[in-house]
Amino acid sequence: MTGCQFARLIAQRRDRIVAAAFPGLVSEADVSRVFETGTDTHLPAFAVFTGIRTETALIEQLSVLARGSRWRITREHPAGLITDDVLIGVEWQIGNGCASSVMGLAPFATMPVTRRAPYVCLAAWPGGHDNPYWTRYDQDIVHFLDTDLTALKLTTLKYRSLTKASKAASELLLTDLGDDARYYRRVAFRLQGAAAESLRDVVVSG
Amino acid sequence: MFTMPTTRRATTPKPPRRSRKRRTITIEEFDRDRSKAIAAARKPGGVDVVDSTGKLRFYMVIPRGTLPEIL
Repeated sequence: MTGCQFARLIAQRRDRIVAAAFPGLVSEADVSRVFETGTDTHLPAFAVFTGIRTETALIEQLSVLARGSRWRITREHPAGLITDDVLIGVEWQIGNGCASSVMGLAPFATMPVTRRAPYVCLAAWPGGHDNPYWTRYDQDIVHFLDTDLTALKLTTLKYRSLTKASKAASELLLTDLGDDARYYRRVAFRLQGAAAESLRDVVVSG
Repeated sequence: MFTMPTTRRATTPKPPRRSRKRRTITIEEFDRDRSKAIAAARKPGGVDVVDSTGKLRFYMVIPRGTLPEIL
């Protein structure tokens, strides 16, 4: 669980996400096809990689994505985080002039607890700045805070209370381990330090 | 002797549930007619997207039911 109350609401109701499962190593075009379907349907898109079980396999998949013109894999260095781990960001060009900052989930011990899942997963909001409550956005990049929440029919009061509950829940999940959600705003994956060498040709500086 | 009433058991076994038909479209169809792919993904069971040899490229679904809380 990410602790995000909005994600919980989106996942609980029908017709609110596009999901795809990939059994093995997949071309960047196929993952783009799934995200494009999210753009077309105006829904968050999730690509689940059921064939990826190890960091090595994930790095192989990231290197395939990095070869595509719409994908950008970055090395991130969040302020205040001292670690030997390698933090990786993933961006996907939507085609509306914006890139989507993609969220990663994975079953690895290095991942923050709020981003652990049974399978490796890339999740993105592939639309525009469609959340009227979120105004402090970066012009050229969207992420889940920009998701169109119209279908949830939230009042301003409810939006604020869900935001507060989301922050509290993720803080509760992370603070025991001395971790912090702010480190992961642009981070899709947190991998072991040993992964740095294999990622040398995959990442561009963040 | 007093016995509790019990529900009557069916004498004939239930017919086995029919497996849901898996829809399939090719990657070429997916690219040519995205709205058809979306419609197929919205149907129960989703859609398998295959290459020209029939090999599975990916499975896509726009679910209609409740999802397990994976987020």
